Amino acid sequence: MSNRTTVIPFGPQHPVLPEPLHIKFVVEDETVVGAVPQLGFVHRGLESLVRLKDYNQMVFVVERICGICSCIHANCYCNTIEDMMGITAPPRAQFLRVIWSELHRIHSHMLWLGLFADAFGFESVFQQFWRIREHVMDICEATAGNRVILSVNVVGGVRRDLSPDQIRWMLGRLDELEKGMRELTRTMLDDYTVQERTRGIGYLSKEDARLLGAAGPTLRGSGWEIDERMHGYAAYKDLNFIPMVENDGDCYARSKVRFYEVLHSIELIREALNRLPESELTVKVTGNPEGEAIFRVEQPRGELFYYIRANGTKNLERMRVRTPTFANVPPLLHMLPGCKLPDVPVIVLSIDPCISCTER
Amino acid sequence: MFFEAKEVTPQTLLSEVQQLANAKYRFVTMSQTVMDENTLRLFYHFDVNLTMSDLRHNAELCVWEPTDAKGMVHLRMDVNKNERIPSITPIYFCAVLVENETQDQFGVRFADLPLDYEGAMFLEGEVTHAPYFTMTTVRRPAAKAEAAKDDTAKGEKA
Repeated sequence: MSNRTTVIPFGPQHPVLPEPLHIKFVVEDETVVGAVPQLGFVHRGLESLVRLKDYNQMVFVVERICGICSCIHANCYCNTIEDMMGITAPPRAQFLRVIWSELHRIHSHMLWLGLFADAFGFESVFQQFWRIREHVMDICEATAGNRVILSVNVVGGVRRDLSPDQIRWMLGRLDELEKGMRELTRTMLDDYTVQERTRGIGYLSKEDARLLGAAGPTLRGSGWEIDERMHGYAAYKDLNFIPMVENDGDCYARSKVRFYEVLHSIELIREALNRLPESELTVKVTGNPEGEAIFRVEQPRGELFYYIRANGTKNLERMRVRTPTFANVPPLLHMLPGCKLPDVPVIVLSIDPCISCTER
Repeated sequence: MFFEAKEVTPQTLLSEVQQLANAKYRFVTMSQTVMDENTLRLFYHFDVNLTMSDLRHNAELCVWEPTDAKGMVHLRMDVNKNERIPSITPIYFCAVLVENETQDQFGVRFADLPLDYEGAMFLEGEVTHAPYFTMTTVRRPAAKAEAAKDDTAKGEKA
């Protein structure tokens, strides 16, 4: 270490972080030259609960791995178990899973867009995003009974349905949501000050994104057209889905990906609501899962991976969850060296860190 | 989705992973499962650019599969818990977190990790083995008996 080198602790309590993450920054004057993360502040050992809870009860456990994408965790888990047991959820359940997953994506991205604006000091945009986000929260509460933890998935289908009245009301609220988002487009994407704080900051090249195992908007912001929804799990195979991709690889590109994903998710929900098929909500599930299987779905932050091993009893033998933030920490450690200290919050937030997911 | 994995050994792991790196595969993650007291099974999951843009832009040619099987490669390796496991971080640096997590959760050690938390990435340094909590099941009959005893005691006081 030279005489100019200082170590600055960042977090676990920091205004820009919604969850506890600690990073030790080695800085020379105002320039970051090294970063070492320290995890473990919200490690709960949820994977090991498979020994105590049966495979149906585990749906409620995986929903609590992360609040903001609870429904998508359950979606991935249920799909893995259904694959192992050789069952398929009914078509209506598949569509409903997409609708609630996309609602989660919208509210996660809008929460992030607000926090991101806050990270570079644009308080009014932060408030505006969170104000508009209430439309989604209201929809979640009215349709699933809760604003954040949407407990709708079960092995074999879903537990709730949408009535024609609810669908009409949802379409109206989605229109208002889209109007609000479009009003913010110029402010978020064309504003000079926003671009000054985000363009060229936290650069991740296309090749580095692959080598460092990036996932989700971090990967797509660097030019990779990789989105698990393209595989057509649930009802995505029947919907007109396209992945949002940007090539610049900086914080601005990542925010643009998320911004356009919100608009695209609104379109996907509309399409799913208009084409919602008539069928049962669940299929009968008998027996216990056996064997080992994997499944991948797209969370708001990126690719979510489940590995499950079962031995034919009601308790699973092993469940392993790889969340997107876990994959995006190495790219973050690559982006930070060389940046200026005031840009650190913007870069850290640009991967949309979810520590509850990362540590489980 | 059920998957098939290619069997590798600690001696052949790095050369297999290097081949995948040369073929531009992306390291997805590792999964671990305990086989017996001394054996840990590790899966290494990789995928290649999923050619999704081709599928999307030629939608009529697109053959959807129920789940993703395309482009993924899985390696399987059984290791002795008491022996050092070769680290793939010289090839894929991004494996550093998952290898450290494996050290935390299964008490094994990887050789030559560039960033080694020595089994204390999630846990505090003084915790020697995971999990650092004990899981117990509430015994309902005993709890009921205890509650009844309390009620009797309250009645006596009254």
